[in-house]
Amino acid sequence: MEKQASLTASLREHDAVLGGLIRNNPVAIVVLDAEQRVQLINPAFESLFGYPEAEVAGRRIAGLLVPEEAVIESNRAAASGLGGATASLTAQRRRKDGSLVDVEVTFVPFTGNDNQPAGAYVFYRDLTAQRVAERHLRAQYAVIEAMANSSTIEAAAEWVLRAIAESLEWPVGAMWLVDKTSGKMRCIDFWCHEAIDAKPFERQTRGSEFRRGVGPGRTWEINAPTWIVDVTKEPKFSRREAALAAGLHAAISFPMAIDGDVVGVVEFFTLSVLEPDQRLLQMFAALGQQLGAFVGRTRAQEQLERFFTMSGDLLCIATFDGYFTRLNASWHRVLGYTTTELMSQPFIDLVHHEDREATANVVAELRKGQPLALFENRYRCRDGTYRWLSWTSTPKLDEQLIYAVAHDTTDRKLLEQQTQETLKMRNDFVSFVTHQLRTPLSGIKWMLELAKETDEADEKASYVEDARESADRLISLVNDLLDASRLESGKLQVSLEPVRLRQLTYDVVADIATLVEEKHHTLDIECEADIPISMLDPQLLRQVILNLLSNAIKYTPEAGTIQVRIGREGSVLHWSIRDSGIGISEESQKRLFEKFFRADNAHTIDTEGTGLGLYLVRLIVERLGGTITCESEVGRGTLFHFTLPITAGDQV
Amino acid sequence: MSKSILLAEDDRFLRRACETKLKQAGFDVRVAVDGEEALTFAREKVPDLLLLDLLMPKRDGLSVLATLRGDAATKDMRVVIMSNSSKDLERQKAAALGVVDYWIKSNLSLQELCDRVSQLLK
Repeated sequence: MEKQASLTASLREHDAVLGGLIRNNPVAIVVLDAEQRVQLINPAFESLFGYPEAEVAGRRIAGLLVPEEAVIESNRAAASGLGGATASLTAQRRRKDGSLVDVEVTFVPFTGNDNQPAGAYVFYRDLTAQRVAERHLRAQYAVIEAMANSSTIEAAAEWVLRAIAESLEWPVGAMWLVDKTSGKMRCIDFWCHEAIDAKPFERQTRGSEFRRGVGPGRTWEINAPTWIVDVTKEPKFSRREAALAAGLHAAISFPMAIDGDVVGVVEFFTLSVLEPDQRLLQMFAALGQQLGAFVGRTRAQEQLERFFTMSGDLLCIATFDGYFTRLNASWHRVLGYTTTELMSQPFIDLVHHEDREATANVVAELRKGQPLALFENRYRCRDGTYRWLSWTSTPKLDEQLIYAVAHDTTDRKLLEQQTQETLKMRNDFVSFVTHQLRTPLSGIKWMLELAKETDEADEKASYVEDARESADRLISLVNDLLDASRLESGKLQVSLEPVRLRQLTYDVVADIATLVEEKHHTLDIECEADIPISMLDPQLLRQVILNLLSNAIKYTPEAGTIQVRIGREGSVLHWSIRDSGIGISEESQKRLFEKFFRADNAHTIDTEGTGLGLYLVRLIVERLGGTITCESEVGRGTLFHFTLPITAGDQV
Repeated sequence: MSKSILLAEDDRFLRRACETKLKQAGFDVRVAVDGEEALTFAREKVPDLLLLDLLMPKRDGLSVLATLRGDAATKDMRVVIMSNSSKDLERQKAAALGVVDYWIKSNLSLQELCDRVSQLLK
């Protein structure tokens, strides 16, 4: 004790200036003797560690300040310092209240009068502020990283919350986005440190919506960071009970804003009651601006992305080397390939081989920097069919890329083609009908001319008779055309009467008996016994039978056989006619019942046919609820067969 | 000696009218009722003029004409198409086969027809 007292006295005596420096120094300083016992502390030491001088004087410093796990390292530094060399380290030291503080410790040894090590000055520089600044910086970097790695705020939310919360050692964070439609804020993500049980608080947060000015909506309203020292003391805090249960106290929230327009709010909670920290508030204001700008940017990008995705046209970016690098969904929809399939081969391989040369030429032009419009080519679909694409493309020379939009014009082309076909059909119809009308008209005109020029009564009568026959032909043609038109439009009136099919057939045959005789045909009619009377239109049915019979007579070479069969099967009537005529090719059979269609060999027999007879037969049979079919072999003969429903009536 | 005309026409009314009128005008008229017959008669005796219908049974007029043009004996035969079809395509085909003219029957009276034939055979 005596030696110690004398040393202290000697120090104070010898270095009053130094003493003043120590005492007034803002850095915490302790003066130790050679055994590391506290000789002197300054007020800065008192305030940093919470010990009054009287309490520490004479005690070993290690036992006072050094946490157990740092004792060895501390002793090494002390030994070095006391050994005569200045030593420095950053470490944690314990305050009187048990809390830890980050400090930079510097040992500066001094010697006594005997030049022997007599003790050391130890300087403790408080690193708390530096640590806080580092944490803030870390949080900012982490947020920037989260934004860089995400394409939307929704995707970035978890990383942003985690980055800030972990950096600041806060346990709970949540992000809210403003929904302009509902005028409310919705929680889009919630982050919680794994050591905290905040499940009810999370549920309530995720399930809540806040209007402007309410809860986190207060931050939205004022567009500035908000700090609640202790939410458990705030009766208005709607999640108070859950916060209490999770042990949460302070709440810090800040807005994400673009040009003063708040798009969302980020909030954090701490486990301890926390007074507002101006530096943190400033940092949050800055982070909020960054996040707001990020939201603005990603939304603008999303809008463009949406156009790209929703476009019905085929949008793509391709390299000058001839590969797609980016494609929208329409490509899959129109061509059927996956994006990977489309991108893994040169696009020229997908082009129709007839269009490849032209395509290669326009690509060459594009590579020279020449934009392109209204180029059309065909692309092969996955199913092997082709689609017509109409292109508008722009090259970007510095990127060596082609930006292109293709419109699928296949349907339009098909329509154009159909229109052309319809037009051609109509022209064909007009020229055909014109021809068919002109022939009997010429007959009438010339016969009357001859009749007028002759004075001989018999000759005159003969010409007039021929003129009348020509007129009949003309009338029958016009009537057929009119019937076809009425049947097509459904305007033809069907008048149902009880019809005996057998009798009707015999009547028609009787009417054309002379034609049968002229060609020396044999005509048989076979009829089952129980053919019932059915409600049918006799005029229309007569026309069907007449047309089929006339054809059989006309297209069967002389002395042929014609067989008509009438039967029934349940509630269906069957009527058929078989001839030994020239027959109809398979090709012609397919189109036989089409309007104006004439079998390829029909001209060899007769040029007056209009191609309307069988067409009318089909229309009438179908109108009466039946069907008609044809079987034939060229050179052997033809069988026509139609059915009709039996709708009422008794047996004949 | 009167000029000879071969008339190929399948419609019996038109055939009768033409034949009557041209005979009245003093021409030597022979008639064919279909394409095959027209070809046969034209080969038997080359007429001074063939009045040829297009749409005929067995063989159409253009086919008859093409066959005649391919045969040395008949290749220079004077032919007039008499049709009621006014399709451009048929006109072009007929022109390519070197016909003298192409007449639409319904647009002519018998007298006009007869006058034109007389003019051609003058």
